[in-house]
Amino acid sequence: MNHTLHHLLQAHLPPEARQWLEAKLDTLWADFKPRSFYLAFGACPRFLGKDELTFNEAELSRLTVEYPNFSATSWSTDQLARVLLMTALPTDTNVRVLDDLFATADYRELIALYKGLYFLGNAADFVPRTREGLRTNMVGVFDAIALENPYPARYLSEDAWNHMVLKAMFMQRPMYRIYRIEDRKNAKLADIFLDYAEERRSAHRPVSPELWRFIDGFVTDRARTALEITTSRGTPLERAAVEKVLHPNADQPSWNEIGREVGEGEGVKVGRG
Amino acid sequence: MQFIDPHVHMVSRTTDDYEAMRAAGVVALIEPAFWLGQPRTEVGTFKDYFSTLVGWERFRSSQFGIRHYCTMGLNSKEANNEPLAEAVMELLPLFATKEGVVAIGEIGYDDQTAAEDKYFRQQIELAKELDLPILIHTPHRDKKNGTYRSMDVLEEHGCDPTKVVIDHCNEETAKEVLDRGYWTAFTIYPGTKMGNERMVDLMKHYGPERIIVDSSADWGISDPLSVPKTAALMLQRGISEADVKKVTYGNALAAYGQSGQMKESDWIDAPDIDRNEVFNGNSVLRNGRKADKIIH
Repeated sequence: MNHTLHHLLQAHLPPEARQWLEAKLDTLWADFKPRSFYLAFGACPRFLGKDELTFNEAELSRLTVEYPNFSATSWSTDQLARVLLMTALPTDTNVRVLDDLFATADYRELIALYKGLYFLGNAADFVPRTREGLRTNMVGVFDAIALENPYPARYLSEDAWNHMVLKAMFMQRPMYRIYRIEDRKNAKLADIFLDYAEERRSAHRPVSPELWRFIDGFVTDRARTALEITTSRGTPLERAAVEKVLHPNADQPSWNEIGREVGEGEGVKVGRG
Repeated sequence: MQFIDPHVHMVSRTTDDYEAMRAAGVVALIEPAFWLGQPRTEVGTFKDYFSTLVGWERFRSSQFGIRHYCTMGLNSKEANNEPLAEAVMELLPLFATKEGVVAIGEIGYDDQTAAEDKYFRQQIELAKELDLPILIHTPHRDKKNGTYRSMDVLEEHGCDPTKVVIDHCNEETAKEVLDRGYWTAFTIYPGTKMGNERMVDLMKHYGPERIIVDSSADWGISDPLSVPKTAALMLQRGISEADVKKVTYGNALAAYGQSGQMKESDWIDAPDIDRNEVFNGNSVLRNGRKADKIIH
């Protein structure tokens, strides 16, 4: 069991909720049965509520040691308690027990499950599950894996990572919120995005200014042609993005700033992902 | 006006239906677990169906600004496949405790066989154990006996009638169901069972207390706009707006709200979505179409 999470929840839960959770943990500890785990996991919103938790600086720094980027998303009481219950599972059987839960989970449960994987002692064993999760069409579930979550950057292979990033673009997700997006850029991904930009141009449809972030650092001759076309035809934000790739200087907005601006209104419409 | 359709099988409906329902004022709906036309032969298909009700379908509905709830149960027809029924009964506790599950149902009788009776009783006990309301499907054939028998069995198990909805009632069964204290639901099917005109007459006769109107729209000929259309006809025929609201909104909320899983604030306080957060890619809202509201 993750003791940091346990102590924080104990400190933040009102007495009645704390007793309920402790009783569930004791039951799992004394005589582990998947059914007890499933029932406790399912009942968390009913007994603990769904309020968002707020942590002080000291608490956040402890959490960040175990879960990089923890403070980037909000965590509700039921969600963090569900994660704690996940970490209470024995690691020699947790893949099987959680696989059954993933297969029967509701929308909110799926989000807690995917956000919590990084806390598990054997988090690396859940790569196939994460790849399966990324096939979802439920935006909230996709976001729980792809945005701000430290799991993909640490555990996904380059191909799996590239698939995730590409799908995020198709789903119009805010790319700058993918954790360590900059560190895991690669030549193959740049090539795929260049193909995508050309395909969109042929169809007379725009691309997100954030796309050029993935070309930045991988400017081939083909990329240069695509960038120059955008210089003459793009929206102001696209032109700013392209300019940043072609002629970088210190005064330009950062890629995250460009991403936030896209989020605030440029509203690129894309097709099916 | 705002409406709740407390019985509609959205897995069988199109996005056009969702759009039309939202435009007509439907803000929340309940999707009871039921049969699919084609009999299931494996427990896995039940599992995936139940998961769809709490996962994908809930999400799909939210994209049209309609809050989706469901009921969980083994329906009476498929209860006759006993080896399968046993396996489904083992699955049920897992799903019955999910968020947004507002009742055990639709359960009851189809042909009134021994197997149907056995699993009906087991599910009544499950509902009591989990303190959930019950949704009763009354049979189409031998309706009167099937309806009375369902209530007899519920009473034998000590169920409180104020926690039970008896659905698919008609002129022949309504009085007895109301007299015995149950929520009395009417399905407005075009052409069969109850039509809107008959429903207006029933309302005039019995008033609005404990009466619920639903569409039960599914894969057969049915109308997902039955609830708003019936409300419009009721108003046109001089029934007060307060009474119409009761039978097309308030009573369903009161009955299923007893689960603790359904509150008016779920849709009234739902935050307007940030338009840039709307997902237009491989979702149900393709090609740049926007939802007005997403409710999770």
